Amino acid sequence: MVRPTPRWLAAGLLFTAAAHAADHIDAPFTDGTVAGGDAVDLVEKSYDIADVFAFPTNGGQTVALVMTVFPFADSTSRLNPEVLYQFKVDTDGDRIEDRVIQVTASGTGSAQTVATTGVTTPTVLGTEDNRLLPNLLEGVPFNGTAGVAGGTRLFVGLSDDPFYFDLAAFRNFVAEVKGEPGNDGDPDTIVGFAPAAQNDTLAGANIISIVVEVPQAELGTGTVGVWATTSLLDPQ
Amino acid sequence: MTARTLTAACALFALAACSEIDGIDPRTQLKFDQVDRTAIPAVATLFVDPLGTRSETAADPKNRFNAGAPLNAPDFADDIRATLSALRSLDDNPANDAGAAGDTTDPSLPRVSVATTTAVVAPDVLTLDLSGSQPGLLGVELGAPDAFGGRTLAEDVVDAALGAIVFPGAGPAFTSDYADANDATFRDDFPYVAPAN
Repeated sequence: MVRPTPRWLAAGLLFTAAAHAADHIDAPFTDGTVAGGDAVDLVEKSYDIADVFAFPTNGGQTVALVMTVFPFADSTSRLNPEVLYQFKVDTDGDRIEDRVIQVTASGTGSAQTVATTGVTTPTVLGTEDNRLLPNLLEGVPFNGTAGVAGGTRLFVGLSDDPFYFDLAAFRNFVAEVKGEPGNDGDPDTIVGFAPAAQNDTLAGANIISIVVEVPQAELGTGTVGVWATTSLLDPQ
Repeated sequence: MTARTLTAACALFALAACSEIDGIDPRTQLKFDQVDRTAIPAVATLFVDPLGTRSETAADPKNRFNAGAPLNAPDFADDIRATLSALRSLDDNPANDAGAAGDTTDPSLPRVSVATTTAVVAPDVLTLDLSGSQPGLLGVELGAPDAFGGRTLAEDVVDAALGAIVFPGAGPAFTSDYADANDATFRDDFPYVAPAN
């Protein structure tokens, strides 16, 4: 096998990234060959995580954890009742979760409600998961909020997609890497994302945001690692 | 109907009635299999198997990554290292090439070697320093003052990732897509995300 040169390798991977606009339209078990927001069916979009955010709130008393799912959602989009949505927290640096926050949905359509365990201790570790009960907050309407400031709060609902990205600039970069002239008209010079221009390809796009705010002390002390997961109900 | 099927059916459709049967909430008996995970943007999308054929099989590297855990970082380190090496050859800055140890002569340009970057991103975890107060992607890893790490809604994560991971020390044409802000205004209070369009 002939190894691809770095430049061609880069061209290929940049094209892949551009075609899928970061982690959007990137649901597991899809070939992603269809362009646009309809590439992935609605069930797959329901467990497709686009972005994860974590930042201090209420003067550091609490931490907000945000996971966006269901890229290019509309007003009828909902969570999947057969999916377990989790934030996992490693408090001791061994890359294994020591605490988790579970979010689940009951019902579909306008009747859907959501629930969260708040910060709790997992009984099963790794990529096979189980539901932990009781819920700290439950029966929360989709698009509604629950909880009080300083404690655990939950919001699951449709929001603006917080991610922003210039897909056209990225594609120009790809063209240049492939040896095409690109925006600067010079096939020999790679100018990256230039010329400067503000273009948010995701302007106006909506997504489902899962926002859980928890007391900082419940996450641990010092340095912790956080990641978000989605897991499908195993029919067994 | 098997007991397991019954348990699953109870959990999904008749919670209250079933929970009376044996005192154990049947929902806790359900099993779930992880299919997606995300923390640092672009790790799964850009760095793992960039030229592979995306497929619907569980053997596809991206699906394996998404179904994996931070503990599986060594399984993907080679792919990530190869991708980073290829990307960093583009900016004609030898300090960024694979094998470069990182250039620390100019402290304003935090150049980090491919090996170090791979070690940081391969687990795909957002690092939070709960004693810090300044949030921002890779802040803890880069040693930013009073760093909380994590990631804010508003921050320019594409630029942060390009500058810190892909092309450290390169010029703005390589480290910015020039989309510098979201189109909608984030809420100051919970739930912080911007209202739907």
